[in-house]
Amino acid sequence: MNFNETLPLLVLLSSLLPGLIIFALPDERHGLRSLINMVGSTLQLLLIVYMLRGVMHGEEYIYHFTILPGLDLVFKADALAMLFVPLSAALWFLTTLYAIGYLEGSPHRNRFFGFFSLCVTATIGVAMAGNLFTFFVFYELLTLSTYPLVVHRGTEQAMRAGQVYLTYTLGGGALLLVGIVWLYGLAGQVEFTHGGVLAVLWPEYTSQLRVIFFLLIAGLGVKAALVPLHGWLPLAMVAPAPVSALLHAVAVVKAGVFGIVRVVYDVYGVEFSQSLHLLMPLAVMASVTIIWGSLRALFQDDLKRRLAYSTISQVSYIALGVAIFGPMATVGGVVHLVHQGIMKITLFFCAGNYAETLGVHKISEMDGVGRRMPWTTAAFTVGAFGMIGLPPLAGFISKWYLGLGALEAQMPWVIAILLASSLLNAAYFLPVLYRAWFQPRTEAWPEEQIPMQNGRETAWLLLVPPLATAVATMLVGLFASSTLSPLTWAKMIAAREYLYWMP
Amino acid sequence: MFDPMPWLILSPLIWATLAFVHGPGRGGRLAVACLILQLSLAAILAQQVIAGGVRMYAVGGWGAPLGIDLMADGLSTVMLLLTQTIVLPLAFYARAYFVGHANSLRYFWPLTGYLLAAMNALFLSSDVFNIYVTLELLGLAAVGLVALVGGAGPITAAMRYLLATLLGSSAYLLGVALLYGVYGSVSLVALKPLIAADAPATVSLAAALMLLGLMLKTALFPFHFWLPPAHGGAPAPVSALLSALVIKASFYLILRLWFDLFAPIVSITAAQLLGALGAGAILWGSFLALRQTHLKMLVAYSTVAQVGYLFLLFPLATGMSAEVAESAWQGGVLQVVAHGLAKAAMFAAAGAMITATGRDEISGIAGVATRIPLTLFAFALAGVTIMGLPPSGGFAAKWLLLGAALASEQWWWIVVMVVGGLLSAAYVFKVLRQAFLPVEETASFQLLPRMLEWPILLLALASLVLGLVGIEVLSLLGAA
Amino acid sequence: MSLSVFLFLPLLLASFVLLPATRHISMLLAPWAALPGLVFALVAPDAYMLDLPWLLLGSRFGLDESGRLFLVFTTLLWLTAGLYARSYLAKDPRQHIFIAFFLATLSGNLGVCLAMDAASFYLTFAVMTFAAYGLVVHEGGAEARRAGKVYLIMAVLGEALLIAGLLLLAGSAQTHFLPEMARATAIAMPSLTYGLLFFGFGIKAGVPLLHMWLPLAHPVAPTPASAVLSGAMIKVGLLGWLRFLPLGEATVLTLGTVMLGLGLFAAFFGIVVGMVQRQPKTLLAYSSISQMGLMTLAVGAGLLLPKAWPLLLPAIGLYALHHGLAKGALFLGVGVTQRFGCNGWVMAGLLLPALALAGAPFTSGALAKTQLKVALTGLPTPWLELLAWTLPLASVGTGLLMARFLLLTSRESKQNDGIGLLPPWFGLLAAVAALAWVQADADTVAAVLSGSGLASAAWPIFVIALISFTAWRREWRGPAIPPGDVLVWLERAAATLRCVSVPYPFRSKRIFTAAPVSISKVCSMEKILCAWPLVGCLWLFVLVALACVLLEY
Repeated sequence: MNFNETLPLLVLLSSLLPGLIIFALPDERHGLRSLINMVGSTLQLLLIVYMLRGVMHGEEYIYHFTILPGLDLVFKADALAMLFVPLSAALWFLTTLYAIGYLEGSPHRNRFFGFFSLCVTATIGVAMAGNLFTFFVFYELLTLSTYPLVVHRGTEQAMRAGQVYLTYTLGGGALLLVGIVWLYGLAGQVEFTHGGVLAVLWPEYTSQLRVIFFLLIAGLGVKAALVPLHGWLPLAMVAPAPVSALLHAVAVVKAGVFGIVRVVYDVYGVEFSQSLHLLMPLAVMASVTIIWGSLRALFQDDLKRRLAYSTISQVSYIALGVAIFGPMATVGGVVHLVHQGIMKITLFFCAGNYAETLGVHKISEMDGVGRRMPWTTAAFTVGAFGMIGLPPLAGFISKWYLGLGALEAQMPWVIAILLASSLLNAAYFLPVLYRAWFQPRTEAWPEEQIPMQNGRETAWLLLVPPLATAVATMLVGLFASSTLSPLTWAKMIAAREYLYWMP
Repeated sequence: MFDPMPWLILSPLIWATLAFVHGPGRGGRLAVACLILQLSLAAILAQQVIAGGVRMYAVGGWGAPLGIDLMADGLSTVMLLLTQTIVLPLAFYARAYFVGHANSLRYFWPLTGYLLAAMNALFLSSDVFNIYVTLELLGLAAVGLVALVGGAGPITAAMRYLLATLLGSSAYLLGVALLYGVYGSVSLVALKPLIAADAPATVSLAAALMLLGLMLKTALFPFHFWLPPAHGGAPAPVSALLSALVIKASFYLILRLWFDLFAPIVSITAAQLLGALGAGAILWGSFLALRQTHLKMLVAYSTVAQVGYLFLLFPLATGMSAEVAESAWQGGVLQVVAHGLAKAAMFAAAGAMITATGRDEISGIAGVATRIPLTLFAFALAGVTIMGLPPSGGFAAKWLLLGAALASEQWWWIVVMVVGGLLSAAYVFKVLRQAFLPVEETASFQLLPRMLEWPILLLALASLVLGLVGIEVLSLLGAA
Repeated sequence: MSLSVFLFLPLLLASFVLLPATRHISMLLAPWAALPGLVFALVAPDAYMLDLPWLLLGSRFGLDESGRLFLVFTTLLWLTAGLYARSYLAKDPRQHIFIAFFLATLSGNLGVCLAMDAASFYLTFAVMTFAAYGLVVHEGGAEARRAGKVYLIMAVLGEALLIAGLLLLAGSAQTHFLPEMARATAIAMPSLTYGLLFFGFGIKAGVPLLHMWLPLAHPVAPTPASAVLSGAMIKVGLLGWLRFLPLGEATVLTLGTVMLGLGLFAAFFGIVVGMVQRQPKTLLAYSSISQMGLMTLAVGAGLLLPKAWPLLLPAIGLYALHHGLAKGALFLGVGVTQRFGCNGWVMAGLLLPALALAGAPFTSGALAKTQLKVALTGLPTPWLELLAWTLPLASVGTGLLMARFLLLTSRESKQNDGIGLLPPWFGLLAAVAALAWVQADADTVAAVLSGSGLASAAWPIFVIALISFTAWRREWRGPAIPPGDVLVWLERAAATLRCVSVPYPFRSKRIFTAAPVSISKVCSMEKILCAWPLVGCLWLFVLVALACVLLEY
């Protein structure tokens, strides 16, 4: 086994091992725990940077392991994986920092950080999975490792959320499993390949392939929170803020939608999916989700709940980008994978800051919060504007390419969806910003836990991560056309998926 | 060449007797030592089978039909290996569990020894009458174990169990007698070529009787009535043994009879009937498990449900193409192994939790997550196998079964499996959820010795790792 | 490089203003932030172009003729407003916040004049729009909040229409760089695209029905902000049309007609509704709607008549320059009368831009109107005749509006502390008087100065004077139309809707409702199943069944 083969495993281990060690540590050893966490995630980042370099230069990182006859665990770092893996690793790093600050003094931290690391391992596994089976393994591992995080607080509400979460995700997992097994029965071991592999089964298995597609999308759609499979997501926001942040930005929701990307592009092949007429229903479903999520977000007073519905809507942009046939839309969808991640994590970090610093959970309590916590609110503003799709922020880039893609695919109605979504996004974010910046404060904060110190609005560890992601939101938008941007990477992916297209 | 087969039967007999004589303390240590030995014997046997195929051993040099033949093929070796693997950690666990219950422990080791001897003998026997003998011995030892702690509940359960197991054995014996009447032989090897598709009706009746007797002993729905009280009421190490191994012994026999002896006369309809009963078991057992209020009863009903999965193998493997049949067969056996490991861990974990909290209701285990996280973790890992989630052995088994069902276009079994999986997730998480709930600081809580926790984790990990090394098990299974 | 520096400079200053450590020094520099832009506009070479391929989708900034013109009067207005604001807000404890928003808006407004691709145009447009929100709501209070809300809603709507329009345009043009993008679209473009672009920019330009925010927001902002809002930023809508519509390339019949019609309607609508306003700044806002109507009309003419575009473009540019400066001077004048008081000099100062708007002889208005009229002569029949008598009528109307404005301002109470407001205001007045003469082409100057030109410009003034005098004597007040006109009805309708509480049908239902009673009944079945007799019977039954099934073979 040479180094290139072990590298994907090392990346996985660099988050798995810290998790396992942390489980074994006593709860009081927070210094050591933080150290292990940070060492693990730094190491992971370094490995990933090395791998990124390699992938850019055409290196292949593949690891095979046979479990049963005709059933392999495969880890592969291709271009698509290397879009998602760095995102997970980088956001894990920031979220860990944030969580150390956020959970200071609360009980059961070793359990929390242990599962947190497991959750990241699962996400990275999902990202690097080289075939559907491997994908499924980590997809289910993700369900299991996030459940303890969702119910971490142990309140009745959290427990109920956990129950609903499990019902949805395990149900989805079961459908996915049936779909995958069926597909394996038809096509044997299906490795993710650019351009898809199922076209050979045409035409005798057409109807079966359609049913399988439906099963797969239904299974993945649960985690991706496609309407009507989204019911768990708004409830799951009872989890501590770092968990919500990671859940909404990279881990669970993204895993679902990443699966959709994989199924459409690397299993069925986008051109083949189009010829089976599978993309249109998916596009419609995604569009409905976009609108529905935004509509529901409008009526939430709980900040995190509003953000949760916003996630439902925003994540479907990715699904929509996948479902529109054409390289431009692919670029838009795939790049939104990254963009939505950094924007949404910013928003959740900020929501967590409000709650942790001032005890502000509801939008109606946010009057004047911008004066008290200007930096946090500035970061929140950047995230919100990004979500609305204003330039030069990340969301604009995604929207632009999605729109162009829709035109390319002769689906101008998608523009109307994007438009409506932007308007709705504005409708539910701008009032929040208005309250925060322009409404004067008339009463005391609900529960001020971290007082103002030397002009510092909250703890350092809580402040740095949202600022970092907010700056990233700006940078990836502003420098979208530079060589190292997610957009350029997404263009490279699109060029590989559409064999005829040159960016 | 050294032959481990007779020693696998003799060893437990010897240490059981010695333990009876020397008492629990030394008996326990001896048992552990011998169990380690047995495990290595089983491993050696597995190596020999992989290398040389089916192995026969004529006891005392007398071959069949006069003497007794021992036979080890892939399937029986897998079962032997599984048995020794499960019993060894359970022995450690039992030593810690029974601290302060010298009375129970006094009979535990001898009964376990006999149980083990019977089981090993059953797996190695090659004639249907010897099998009957081992079956009877197994049943009696198991009943004795259920009654170990005494008291009204366990004794009632034991009696019920005794009646059921006797009924099952007698039905089986009746079948054996009928077979002997027709063919004049009880040897599996001798009988096999004689039974053909046009066998007389008596043979079919014999087959029905034997299978049904075994089904009763396997606690297949709707004959599961004896299992929950017996498994739920026994002390945890015993429950673990019974649920993980004893019912598997009779299932092993059903497999043997169905695919070896009666292969020419079994029909697809019969297979569908068995499958239907299995489906009933899955749904009904899972549903009832979900409704239980007592931890061990929940785990016991989970066994009822998991047994159902085993029986799905018949409709999937009978009358289908070789490929599908093989996949189903492999899936079924993997499920036996995975469930054995996981259920042993689960019962042991349940026992540990009950010991720690002093309460046996599910609602009583709040706070377990913080006090004995290791045990809960083991329970959760075992739960992963029970739910059939990757990368566990249960998942590998389910994968193969699902694949077979899809390939043979029997979608109704898929529905059953999926629904059963979800229901099992529901009852596993019912426990986990409770364990995560906060508990008042005042609640009494007994600290657990390390030896009570680590064997559980070992078993649970084994069930999980099975998913990754499934291919090794299958290669042993395929060695014929 | 110089270009990106001066675009970025105001933003940088804005952030320095917000930081307490650097506030003092940057507040001193802030009023001059527009100066580099003005210098650049005057000295930049022709067809200046700067490509920044790494920025956004790949960006391009540049300066063409109309860009230069817009940049000149925009920077001039901002410079004046900045100097004016220093004195105007001297006592405001929150002036640094105003200045920060002011600078951010400025950088957007400068950028939008220079952006030469869809993405950076949209970016700078958005920066300007959203930063201006801070200007609108600066004064606080219920009125400002309402104005801010309406402003924001309309702005967001505009952004959404715009991005859709730009996307459609870029999608069919296959490029997002500017001259090519607008040119390529001349081939075949769904009318929807132009519709979106028209309305998207139209919100900023105060096209009727999309104008509601304007009479609310412009008056409620602090005066220097009103001046740039009404003078400079409203023109950005116009600039957007000039940039993205296929002017001079193709005939777009529908949109051209619509723009002509709406523009004409706006010209009179603004006058009529403005006439009955009670606040001078609101009146000015309505006057802006009216004046923008004339420019809309001219752009519409360009769409109908591509051939006339080379004439129309400079005319529109001149008109924008004239109106921007004049309207800015009027707004600043209102502030002067309020703070400094209303002596003869001030009234004379106010009269100049008022007369200019009315198109009196020797003013920039006369130049702009004449050049526009000449450029419009090529229009097809119904329009030409219609405009021949409506345009002078509109001039008369504007004049009347200005007369009413002067009347309203003379009634303003005074505080006598605004001496610092005067220098920048007079500076701007000088620009109003002079700059149009530099910009107008020689023919127009000649025509305006000719006898007939003077006469045709002069007679409306007499009519105006006559009518206003009569109205003043009779103390005519007219019916009251609240600022925002149709908005008031809309708000009422919305309130009614809100009162009819619509049951919200889609609440997420509890997934795990209490278990129905039947479940426990099902559970009790287990007891029956465990009873010996039943189990025995079942066992026998299965035995028989199994035997039968096996016997089948």
